[in-house]
Amino acid sequence: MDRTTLSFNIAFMAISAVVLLVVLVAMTGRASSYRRADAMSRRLRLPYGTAATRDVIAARTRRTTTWALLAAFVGLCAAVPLLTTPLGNESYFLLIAVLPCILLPTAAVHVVLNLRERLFHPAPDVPRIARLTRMSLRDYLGPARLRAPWVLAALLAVIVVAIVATWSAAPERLAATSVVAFTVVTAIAVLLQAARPILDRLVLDRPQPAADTLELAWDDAFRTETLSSLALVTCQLTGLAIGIGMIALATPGSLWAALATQLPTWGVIAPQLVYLGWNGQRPLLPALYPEWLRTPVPVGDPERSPA
Amino acid sequence: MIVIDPSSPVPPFEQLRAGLMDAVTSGELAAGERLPTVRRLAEDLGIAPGTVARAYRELETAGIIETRGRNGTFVAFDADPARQQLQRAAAAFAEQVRDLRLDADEALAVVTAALRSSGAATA
Repeated sequence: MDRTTLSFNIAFMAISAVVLLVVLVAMTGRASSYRRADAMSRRLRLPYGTAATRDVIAARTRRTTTWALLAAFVGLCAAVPLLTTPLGNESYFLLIAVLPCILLPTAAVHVVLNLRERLFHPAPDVPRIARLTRMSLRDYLGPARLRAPWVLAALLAVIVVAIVATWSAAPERLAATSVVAFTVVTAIAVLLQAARPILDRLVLDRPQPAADTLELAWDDAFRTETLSSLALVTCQLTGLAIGIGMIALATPGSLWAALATQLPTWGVIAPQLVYLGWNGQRPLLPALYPEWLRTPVPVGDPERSPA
Repeated sequence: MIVIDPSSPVPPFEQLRAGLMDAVTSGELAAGERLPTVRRLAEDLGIAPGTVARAYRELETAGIIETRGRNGTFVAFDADPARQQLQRAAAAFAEQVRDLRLDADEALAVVTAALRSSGAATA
């Protein structure tokens, strides 16, 4: 048994748990939620319109952060028993056991909050606004982010076929721990791939009560965040399964085996670049903004500035 | 977009019917576009599902929209086969422009130029 790797994994999990708790305490304050709401407004280039809208966005941001961090902490605790399994001695334990345990509950929080809560509650006597078309996933994610999970699913299918073929032809070529890790992560990825379209539809079918186009755009912003986080976690776990599969297939000691050890990490990082952008500043798709916010208005152009 | 004003003297049903009609005639809603479900639109607008269903029914009778079983309600294509084909081609073109994330004005300019050049060639 590799005591050093096991000790490192235990230490890393303990430190992660402490960091999560510290972040939880620091980020769930009222002032912090307003700061993050303002940062979101700047990132999306979406104004609040009214002080009441700012309060609603800050409250929602606060609830999302609190529950997401709590879910991540619970997920981390749920991964502790896995340290007693042979996986606990693996250097990629943090990737294959801890990451899914953190990513899945965090994405689940986004979905549950979106399904349970309505962002705005317009008064009965104020005008209400609605879209006249049925929105699809494409309207929120765009073509590239829409296709990424399916492309990775196809790649994973190829890896599964290769692993099964190698297992039946020369089982001694595959390390048992790699195969177990691959099977577990692949099973989670497949379940997620199958459940995601259903969850997407549930989120898309939720009503969006709004009194104006800005409220609708803010609702769409949280909806985009939920759909994005679902697609992101699906891509990350599928990418992770692909990476572990490649490690299992690589001949030990070869250059390819050395390169393959980097793949699970990239399988987690690359989807983040796709879904969050290179600088994490990805705005909404243009059609989700109110008409008057779609085209940038030059400063000091009174003719084009919205009233 | 459609706005329903509860304080307006015009009943919500009429506001919705007129709003949908305007959206179709102005081109905001293109032929073949899928409308929200009755329940969803009713919840979004804070009106009774029966009101939305009645507006949809009237527009369907007028041939503005069509219900395709469980697939949902869509903006109807024109009855004339040539126009129908044109509308389908336009819908496919619009989808491709959206996929390529091109500017709608730029796409329209390209179509106008293509139509003009083909018109000049046949003249």
